[in-house]
Amino acid sequence: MASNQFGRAGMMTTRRSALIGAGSAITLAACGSTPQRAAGTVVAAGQPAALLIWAVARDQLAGWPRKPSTRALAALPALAANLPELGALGGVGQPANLEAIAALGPRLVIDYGDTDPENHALGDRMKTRLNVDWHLINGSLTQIPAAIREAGELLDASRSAAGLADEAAAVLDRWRRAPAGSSFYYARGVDGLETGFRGSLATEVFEGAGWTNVAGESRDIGRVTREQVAAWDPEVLVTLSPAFVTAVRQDPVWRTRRDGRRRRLLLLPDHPFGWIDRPPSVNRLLACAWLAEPGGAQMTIAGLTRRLYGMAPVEVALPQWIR
Amino acid sequence: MNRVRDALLASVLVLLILAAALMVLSTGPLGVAPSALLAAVTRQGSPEAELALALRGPRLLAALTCGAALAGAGAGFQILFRNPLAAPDLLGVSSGAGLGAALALLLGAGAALVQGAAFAGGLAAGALALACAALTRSGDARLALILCGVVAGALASAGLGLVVVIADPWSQLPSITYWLLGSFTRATLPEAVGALLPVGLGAAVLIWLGFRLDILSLGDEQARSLGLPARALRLLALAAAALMTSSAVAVAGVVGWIGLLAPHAARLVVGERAGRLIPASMALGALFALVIDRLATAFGPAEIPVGLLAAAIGAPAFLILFIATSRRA
Repeated sequence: MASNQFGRAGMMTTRRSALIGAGSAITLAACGSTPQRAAGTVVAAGQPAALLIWAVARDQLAGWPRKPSTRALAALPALAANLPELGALGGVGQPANLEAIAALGPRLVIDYGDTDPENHALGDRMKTRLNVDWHLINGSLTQIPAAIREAGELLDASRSAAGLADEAAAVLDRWRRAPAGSSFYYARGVDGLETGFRGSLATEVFEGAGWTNVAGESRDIGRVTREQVAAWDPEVLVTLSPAFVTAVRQDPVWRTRRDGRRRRLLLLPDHPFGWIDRPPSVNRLLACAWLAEPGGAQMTIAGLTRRLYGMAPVEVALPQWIR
Repeated sequence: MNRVRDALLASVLVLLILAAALMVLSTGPLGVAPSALLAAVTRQGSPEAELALALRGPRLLAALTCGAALAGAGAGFQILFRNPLAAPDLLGVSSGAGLGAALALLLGAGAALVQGAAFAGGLAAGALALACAALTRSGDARLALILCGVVAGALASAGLGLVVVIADPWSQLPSITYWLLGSFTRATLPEAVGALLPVGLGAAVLIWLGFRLDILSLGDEQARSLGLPARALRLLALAAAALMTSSAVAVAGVVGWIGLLAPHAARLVVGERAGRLIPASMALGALFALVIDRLATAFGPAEIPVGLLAAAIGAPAFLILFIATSRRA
């Protein structure tokens, strides 16, 4: 749908190539003039919904609940930078100005996350206040294909959404059958002491692929001590933060296991969006694809990156095992 | 007689701190016995014991240093301003340090830069308060300093609020929030050792000022009549206290109440004189920090932020002390 829109505009000439190297990066290069176009009429209630809409029919997105970072915008099609920041209509993030949302005259608001009574109630309240259709889509990881199809129907982009949904279903199928992985600790933040406990949204991608999250006995996101991490003795530290990688390099204690062996460190890409959360949306498919085939998913990741994020010049880093 | 009493008191405080330190060193999720830790000190322990020592040592040092720094600075402020509610954040130093750290986290800086930014932010807020107070022509220098400290703190808090609004709620905001709530666990050995120098320098200045602080607390006119350069000495004392506070906040985040509670507890034992109050406050502050650090990890794998624990324990303890003091009076 989105590419059709650009095609109709007749302003974008694209030369695209996928260069799959032996190194740690895939480059999808494209060049072309960028049309200045009006934003769409579908509002995302939060950033997860914005990524879903962006993947399915980006031309219809009215704005970002939170504008992506400059680095992320540079990797996305120019449309991303042209969209305004609207704020969030619930959940995480700076609250939106409801009057400004109403002034946009949206035809639909899409929320993407937990389908719990609280989110349903939020939708009912907002529907009344904004006088606009509000649709809550199940945001669980395993339901991503269904969510893409549902969004496609809502956004009149069923055909293109079906292709992406099939691709997502194939990725998740391989991800479920991935061989069991190592025990891991998810180090969030620059000091690595925030973590997602077992069963949390933040670690679902790894746990579903058969990796063992060492952080138990609590729930969701929390903060732990370095000694607690040492006592759990994970085989692998997983992080999205290059700053944490720097800290680990300067402090060998992080990589020392209880028996004196060296712990492995895995840096996952965080741009344009995080691979395992930040936000918890369709972006997580990239990590699923990599976990399903850690050594041979380059083509899948290249294809998914193009489908999820667009065709502008973009460099997608692959996970790196840090020496 | 006083010397004997002081020596006895100092011995008791040192023993209490040693006992608390031993408790912190010998307990933890790794479950390494104290004897194994002792072997690790001499590099003859198991890898696990060496790991435990490498993790617990910096944490212990950070708690001791920060607790002593905040309490010493708090005592200095309370003496200088003759105000029992004076705390290390009186000049906006903690808020400034919080702003510095939050800005660094917003820009994606690493842990060392975050610590440096917090230290610089704290000193900048303190310097702003002192500079503004110097510009005023108020007859009451202490009142001018308090008001300018409130202004510096409010400006830093507003900046911090702005950073919180700008921060990415999925990645940066949790880090900023956790940083502000305080923790001794993130301190590495270089960071903990690095805080020793500024804290030691500040403490040495405050202790050296000793009886001069007592005279300053009587007011500028009395100080001048006794031949003391009141303005310069006050500036020196405030700079020393701000240096200690900044160093502590840079390592541990914003941990309140230690700087308020410890001087009050110390005052009950050693009285009002600065030469005895400041060291006693520092010892009690270190002890309090060790206790809350141990409690922070006593209830499961998730750490309770030490800033929250300090408030939860410090507020009622302060109330009890206040009631006890007022009844005695």
